[in-house]
Amino acid sequence: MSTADFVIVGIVVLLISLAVYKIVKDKKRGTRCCGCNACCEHSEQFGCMDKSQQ
Amino acid sequence: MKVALAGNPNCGKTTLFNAITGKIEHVGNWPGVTVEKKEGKVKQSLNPNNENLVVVDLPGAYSMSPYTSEETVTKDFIQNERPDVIINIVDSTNLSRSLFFSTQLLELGIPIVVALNKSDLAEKSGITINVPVLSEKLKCPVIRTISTKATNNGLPELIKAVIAAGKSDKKQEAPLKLSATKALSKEESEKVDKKRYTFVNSLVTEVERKKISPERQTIQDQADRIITHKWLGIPIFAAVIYLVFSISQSWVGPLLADVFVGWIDLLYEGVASLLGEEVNPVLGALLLDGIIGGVGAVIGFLPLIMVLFFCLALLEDSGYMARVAIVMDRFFKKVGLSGRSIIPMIVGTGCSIPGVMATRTIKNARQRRTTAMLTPFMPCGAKLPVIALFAGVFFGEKAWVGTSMYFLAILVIIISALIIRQITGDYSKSYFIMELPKYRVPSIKRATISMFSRAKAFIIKAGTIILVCNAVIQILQSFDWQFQVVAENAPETSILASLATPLAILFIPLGFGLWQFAAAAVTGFIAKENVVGTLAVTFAVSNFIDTEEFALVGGSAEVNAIFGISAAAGLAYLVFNLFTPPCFAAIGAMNSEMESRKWLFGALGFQLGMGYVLAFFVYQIGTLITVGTLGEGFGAGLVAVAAIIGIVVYLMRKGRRNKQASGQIQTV
Repeated sequence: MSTADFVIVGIVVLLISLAVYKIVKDKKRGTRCCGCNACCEHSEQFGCMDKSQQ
Repeated sequence: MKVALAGNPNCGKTTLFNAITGKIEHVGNWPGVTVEKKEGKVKQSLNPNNENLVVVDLPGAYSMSPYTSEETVTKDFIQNERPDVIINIVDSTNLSRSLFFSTQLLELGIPIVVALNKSDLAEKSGITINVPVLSEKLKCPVIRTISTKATNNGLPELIKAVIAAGKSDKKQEAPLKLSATKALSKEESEKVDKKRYTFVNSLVTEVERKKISPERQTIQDQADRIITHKWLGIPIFAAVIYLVFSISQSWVGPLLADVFVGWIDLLYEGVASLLGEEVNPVLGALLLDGIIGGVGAVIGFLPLIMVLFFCLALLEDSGYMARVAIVMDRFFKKVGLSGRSIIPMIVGTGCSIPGVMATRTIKNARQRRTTAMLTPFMPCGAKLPVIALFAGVFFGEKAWVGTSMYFLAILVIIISALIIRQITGDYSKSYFIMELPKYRVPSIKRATISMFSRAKAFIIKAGTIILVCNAVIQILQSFDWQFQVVAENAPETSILASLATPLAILFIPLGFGLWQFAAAAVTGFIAKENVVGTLAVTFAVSNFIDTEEFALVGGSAEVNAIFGISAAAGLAYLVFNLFTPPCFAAIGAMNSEMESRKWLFGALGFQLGMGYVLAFFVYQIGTLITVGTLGEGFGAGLVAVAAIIGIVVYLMRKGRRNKQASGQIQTV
């Protein structure tokens, strides 16, 4: 593997790690919509909200 | 100091809450937007001495004797948590109705400050209210407010009065003592209500002066006669939705998308040139096609979605969507749904999850579960890229495709509700009473906030779930089971192809029996945008929107050729994705709201069956019309569809028999 290959692996791993981190963080916070805490402005009104705020 | 905001539905509580806390909670120009309490601190510009003021926005209530679950939230909070002060928001344009609740609140002994909201609208309608007399009669401060105005809105005076009321040791006096919170018999309750109405009416007569004659029809009334008309209401709704789709999918949306996709292309090409030739092709493809291409294909539809939601937010703010609820109520009531079912479905056009959650306001369990089951049929924001893609590839971005998907969804919901009513054998009816909000010029600011909020959510989803899924899909299609790189001319040997092929066989009668479509349909259960992302990755298309001609890449014919299916099959695939079960998160919401595993699995089976049957008919009939012969796999598909319909008919008969046996159905 060349240096460029290692760089690509690094970028891909970083991007996927950040994405997984965000998904897991949101799940722990109790958000119902996968991957984000703002699937739309109605979310908080119907209970889809950060547990720490409740 | 805990301050509660209480008042009738649609009197402007959430607008006032946003104005005094600086928050941007969703505001709708119709009753029932808030179903749970929300908290916030008063912003410093209104609270210069930094008093500890926590404001709680409560759902709208007409009375302290709750009828709906939102009213229960309000009553329980006020009675159990005893806020230090209550801001009672009174709609100046409808004083007599608002004061009924005010007189009940005044009996609780909690200091009250009345906010005479919408004072500007009252003035415009020729209504003048004698504030000092009203304040004297109610025995509490009364402040005029216009929460939609940035300045000279009465809010500093309101907060000042709240602080003074909270600090005062004086107990709130009641102008009328009728035991607002005590449990009364029906007769006693009627007597008390009558006395309260008499008091309120005499008070209103004393303090309110109206310049207009109540018999004269306003322009709003005349507009409502047409917009909510029995027969005209539906074509008007169709025309409005068509216009919204034309603007978002054919006119403004593609123009913006063109610029946006240009940037994505630049990124793609920039990274491709940086990588050069010497990079491992599998790794290069993972970054370029899997991550940048896959996510970019989904993100490319962002401008179309933003324009659509901007238009829908304008419609909602104008008061039109409340009229749609009234128009649809007539049909929904006939098939055993609650009129309240319409609100979750309209909310569901943004995202199915809050739509499903909104069903909790429906008291009847069967109606609530049915609504939770059918709400995901409404095309949500995540399904829009799928609609836009297939409308573009097979129908040249025609706005009628999106419009017809909305109306097909409504039709399917009505038919499904009818079927579910037969299966459950529950023929109970409920009546829907909704106060129609006044039409108003929609706020560009509110629509813009709503649009960016959805855009943010869409981008976050694309950068998380979609990115991970596309990377996994790219890896699965790059290797075979021996973890050898798949040859370029043999993609069917990949892990992904071998996993998706058995499923693809089931889709042959639906016209899309290719492993790429099967894989995309499965990843669509994780998030519906994945359908577009997976198709982009598996067909190696970096973006679906041409940057030069506002048309799909290379013209629809080229993508059509890449997909290798007919227009009828394309439409069938679109229908399949719209009417099969929603994403896992929405299924989770269905589980919470249904509170029954039997209903949940029944719902998933029903949705799967509905999607399959509809796609089968769309493909087979479409092929018969366009080609003159039936499509491939007709016989096998017919057997599967007959089996699905047979099961549904059996369950319907069983449900009917059970109820007849228990004597609940009198007619045959």
